[in-house]
Amino acid sequence: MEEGQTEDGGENIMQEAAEHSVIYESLDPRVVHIWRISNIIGSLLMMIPVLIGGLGFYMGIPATRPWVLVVVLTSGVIAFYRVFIQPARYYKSWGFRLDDKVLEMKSGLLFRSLRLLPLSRLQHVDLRRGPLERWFGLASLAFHTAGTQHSTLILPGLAEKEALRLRDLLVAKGGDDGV
Amino acid sequence: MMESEPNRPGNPPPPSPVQPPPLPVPPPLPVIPTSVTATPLEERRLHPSTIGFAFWGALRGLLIPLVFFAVVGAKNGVWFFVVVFGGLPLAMTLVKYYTFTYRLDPTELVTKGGVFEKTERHIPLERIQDLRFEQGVLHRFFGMVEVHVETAGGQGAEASLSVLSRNEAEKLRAAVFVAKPGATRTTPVGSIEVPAGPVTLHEVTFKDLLVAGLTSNQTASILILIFAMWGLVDDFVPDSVANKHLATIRSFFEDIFMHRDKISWIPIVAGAIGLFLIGTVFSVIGAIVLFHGFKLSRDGEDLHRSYGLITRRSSSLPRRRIQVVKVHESFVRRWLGYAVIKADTAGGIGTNNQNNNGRDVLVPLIPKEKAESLLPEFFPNFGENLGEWKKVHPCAVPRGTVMGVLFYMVVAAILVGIWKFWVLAIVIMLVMPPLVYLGNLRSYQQLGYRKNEYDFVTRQGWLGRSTQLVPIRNVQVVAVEEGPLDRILGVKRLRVDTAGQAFTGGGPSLENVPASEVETLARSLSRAAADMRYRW
Repeated sequence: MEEGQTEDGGENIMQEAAEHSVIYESLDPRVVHIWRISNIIGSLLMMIPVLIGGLGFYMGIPATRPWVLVVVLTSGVIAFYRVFIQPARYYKSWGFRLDDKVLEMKSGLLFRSLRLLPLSRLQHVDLRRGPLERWFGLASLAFHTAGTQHSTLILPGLAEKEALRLRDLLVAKGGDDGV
Repeated sequence: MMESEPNRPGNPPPPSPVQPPPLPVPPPLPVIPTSVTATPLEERRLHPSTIGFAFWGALRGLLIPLVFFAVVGAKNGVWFFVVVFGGLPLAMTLVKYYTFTYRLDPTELVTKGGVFEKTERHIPLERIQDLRFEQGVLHRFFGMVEVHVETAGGQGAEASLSVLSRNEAEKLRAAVFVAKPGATRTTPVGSIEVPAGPVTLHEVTFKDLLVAGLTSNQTASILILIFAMWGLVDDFVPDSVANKHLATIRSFFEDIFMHRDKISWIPIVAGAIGLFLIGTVFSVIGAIVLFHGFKLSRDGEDLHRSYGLITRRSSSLPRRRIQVVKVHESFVRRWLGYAVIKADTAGGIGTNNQNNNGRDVLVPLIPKEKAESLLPEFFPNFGENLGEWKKVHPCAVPRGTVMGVLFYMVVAAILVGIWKFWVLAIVIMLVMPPLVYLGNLRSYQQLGYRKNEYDFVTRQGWLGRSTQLVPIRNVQVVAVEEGPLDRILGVKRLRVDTAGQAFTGGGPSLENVPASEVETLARSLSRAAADMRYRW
């Protein structure tokens, strides 16, 4: 009897103890750098207009000065968080697990999700490498299904070799569904 | 050299070597020569009356601007509007008529079109999910049909043939629904048995439609429609006129506001009731016009729907294309014992507007018990060994209640602290907590799921109720989600992704499932899905 299946009525609450010991693989740690760099760029894109606009209002309309300070401060805090704190935390939240039938991926800090992909539903796999990923020698895999909300699941931050290995492995296991 | 054993008298003949039982060979797909049931159609244009319909459409498009000009009296832009709303569409349709062709090959429908950039589109017949016919009054008068071909891919109609003669359309439909793999015939072509004809599953009566109109939620959307049309008026009416009217309206409301102590509320309440009644009448009329004569029947593997009073619509849908079915009882309808059945195929468009002309419903209104008895018609093998409804852990009830009560305490505190509305705050604190508890209790009672080896059924809702049924072979990705509030409550949400979700609104999902159970359930579902092949 496989885990999770019951033949009579109730679900076994004791199984939850087993569930908590599920082991997930981590992404390649270098992906933190990629996220950090892209967050730096994003924060700069956000902060520059805020600072320029804030300066304008500060000098021009004294009545708005407190609000300007509030906005600039908030943006600064957000930018700080995104550059220094968020990438590492986000990395820790990521995990994936591949067994003989299902690929699981979990991620998310505030809004967390665990996505289970039955391997026979895998339509095809893309290997994606953006410029930052190429620089660090990493790649992402995009898994395509016939679904609607999760029609494409992305697994980022894999070492190139690992990504290729996984892709070839999954393409072999993947479905001939849809025939 | 091998010697065969001599056949000595008195011995039984040597037993023949045991053969393993032959592997069951699936019956070969019926090779139906297309000359028997569907001749390939050579390349041809749409029916010439397409031009006539386009002319009529152009006239109708001109009508609204002309009316406005008559009312408002601007003279300069008239010719511009005639060209834009009348001439251009007509010219475009003419061009399209002369450049668009279609043909039916033995395995494909091929359409060709385009003026500067020619597009040739090949649609394999076996990929066609749904074939919809539409006939307006004029169409019926002239015996013409608009045909919409839907395939998986969620882009809506893959090809639209507007207009074809009824004959042509039926020929096309016969060809498409014969050429599918695993098609209906269980007897080989040419055998003596006659395949069973269509079986009517349900016919919606006039009374059903009356109930549907009275209980639908369309009042609000009609009001929204009125406001939207008001917005359109802005584009046509010159500013000065609009501002004058707006100023009048604004001063009207200002008057009311200033005299609010003296105004008697009776006319206002009467006005609101009047609006509500008007909305109800509109929605009754709407239900009747849209769904008059709704008939659902099954012919072998194909489900046929036909409905409509003024515009007649019919649709053919192979039942194995159905990805997920939702039986929905809104609050009032549930009380009266009725439900709506909606279904999604892989070709459903993700439209958010309410006006998809009835494509989303398998049955617009049906008594609840009959709805359940119809489910095996959509999913063979449904219902065997399904077991009882499994509830989730009841811990969600006290947790949800506590959170709700805390929320209202905060609201009351704000009301008192800022505005000093003591009375309102006390009323809230007396009334809301029991309601919150009841709401949570009710949600818990409704929340449940059933699972057997073929199907997964979920049920939820506290005022209304939705039951979603997805065969496990249609389960794609299974997701478990939580937001910060869910984390506080210790619950998560389970969501099953399917190939089509436009009409059933988001795939089967269970909210407020205790965290300890949800991952077990998700894993068991995804493993079961992995074992079953998904077929288009």
